[in-house]
Amino acid sequence: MTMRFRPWILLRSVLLALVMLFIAVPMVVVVWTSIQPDTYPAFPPSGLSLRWWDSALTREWLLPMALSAQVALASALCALVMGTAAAYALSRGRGRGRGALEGFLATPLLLPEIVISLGVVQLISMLSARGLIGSPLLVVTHTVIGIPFVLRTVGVSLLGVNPLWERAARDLGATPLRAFTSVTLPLMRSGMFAGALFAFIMSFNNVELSLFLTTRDANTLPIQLLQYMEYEYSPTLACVAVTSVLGICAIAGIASRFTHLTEFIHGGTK
Amino acid sequence: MTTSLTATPPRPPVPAPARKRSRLPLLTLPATVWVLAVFAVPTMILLASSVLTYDGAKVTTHLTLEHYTDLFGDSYFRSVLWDTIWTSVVVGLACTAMGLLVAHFLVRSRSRLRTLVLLIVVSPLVSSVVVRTYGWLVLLQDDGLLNKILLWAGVTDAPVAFIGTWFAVIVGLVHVLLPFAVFTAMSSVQGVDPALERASRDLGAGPVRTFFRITLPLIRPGLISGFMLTFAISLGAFATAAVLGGGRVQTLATLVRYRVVVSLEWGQAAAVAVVILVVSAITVSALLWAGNQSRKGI
Repeated sequence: MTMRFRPWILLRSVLLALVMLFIAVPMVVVVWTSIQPDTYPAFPPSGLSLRWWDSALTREWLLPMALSAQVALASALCALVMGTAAAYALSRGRGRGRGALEGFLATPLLLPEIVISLGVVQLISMLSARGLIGSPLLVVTHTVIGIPFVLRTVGVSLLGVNPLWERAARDLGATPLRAFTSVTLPLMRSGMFAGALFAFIMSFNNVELSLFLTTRDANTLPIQLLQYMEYEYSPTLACVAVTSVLGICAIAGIASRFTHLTEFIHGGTK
Repeated sequence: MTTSLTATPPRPPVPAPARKRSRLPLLTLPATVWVLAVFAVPTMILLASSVLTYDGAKVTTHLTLEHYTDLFGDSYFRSVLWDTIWTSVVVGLACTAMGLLVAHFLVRSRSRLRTLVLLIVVSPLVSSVVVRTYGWLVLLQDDGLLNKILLWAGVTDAPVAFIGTWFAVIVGLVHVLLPFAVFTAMSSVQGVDPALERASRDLGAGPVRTFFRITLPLIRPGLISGFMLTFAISLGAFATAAVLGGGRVQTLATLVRYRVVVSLEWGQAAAVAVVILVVSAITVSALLWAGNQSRKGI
């Protein structure tokens, strides 16, 4: 029986292998570029070198990296607080507006970010407040795409929480706050970590939303990388890219100690 | 936490003895206000400013449709619009097909390679679009790795110019959007009862026939929403087109940036942005509707 299906299974495996190669190769190439000596990586490879790292770990790149990290941290925290509050209320509410509100809070993910970015700049210039452009405005804007992620992951966590448990705590004499913090909050924690992590990554790596909201003095890392890439090519950028990816991996690694990330991956990115 | 408690259904009606007005909905207020202020209001302003005249970068109160008549009267803009739409369709279709292939394997296979495949699929998400685009730049430029490999293998005599072509932009966009397509396809394949596929096989259908007659019709709504998602994102995607397009490929998104940063035509920029917004909003709602219809048909 298995003989009959060989060609189909073989074709599928070959296609799958090609897709995997397609996904992995650019990432491998970036890492390889950062640790080899040539401006244009040679084939066959010509050796190893760390020469490009000297110009990568300078103020020029470390400042945008720090700014991106600050903006991502602040916007993830804002999204965490507001998203968790909304997810809790939505999971307990029985109102008709529930689905509509969930949909509304998720629309920024469905519509092109470049449009939101231009709209925010227009609003700012209309209020004659272009001076606001910089990290606070980036935080405010990035929070909007962080909220749907937190809403989703905390919502997933809350599905497993029976409202009766909190009531039981109340009946046993706990104050509403105490019942919430000692019963529901610990059970939401996994979703909160996952949501905050997704929001952080979305902000840290964001291009389109930040497009019109950065300045020469306050540039996020992805925008600065993009501006360089458009006009010149240098392996230094590979080193910067590798550094930022390692940073995200470290943060994801720490966060995964507190949450089962795979549980949220479908829900978190949809 | 006893088993009897965890076994209760997720949301039993909670008796409310003291029918005090709940203040819970207030908790949704901060998020709602935030999204209104930073998403809804700017979008409205953008719509408004695309039909107002400008005095430099300052909006006036004169209504006008000239930004739109200028745009659609311009054959260059029409070709950019058309190019962006067909590219996004190609990207969406490629992502949906490749995503389904991977998702089907991830959900159905018991192979030991499953974890590895999942890891590879998730791995791009830790890096930004810019980083992945940089990888393609290293690969595809004239002195890039792909050309070096092609020359080394004797496939071509002279480097092939990939950068600055739609091919490069499409490849880059598919790479960026593939993880999203895989995840949406995964959740729909998970919704198909494997017993249905087994029954079809037991009744004598081959795996190919089972896939096209049983699995595919059942997951169509999921595939449609995957296509919708990737199409809508690639419509407004900027970084890939800007870098891999090498300044020669113009999409709606690069056109917006050009109008804002280089030619400072704010009204035109707003009008182009509104075109992006409208096309993606129409697609999203049309496909949502189609998804609902085909779900009803089953």
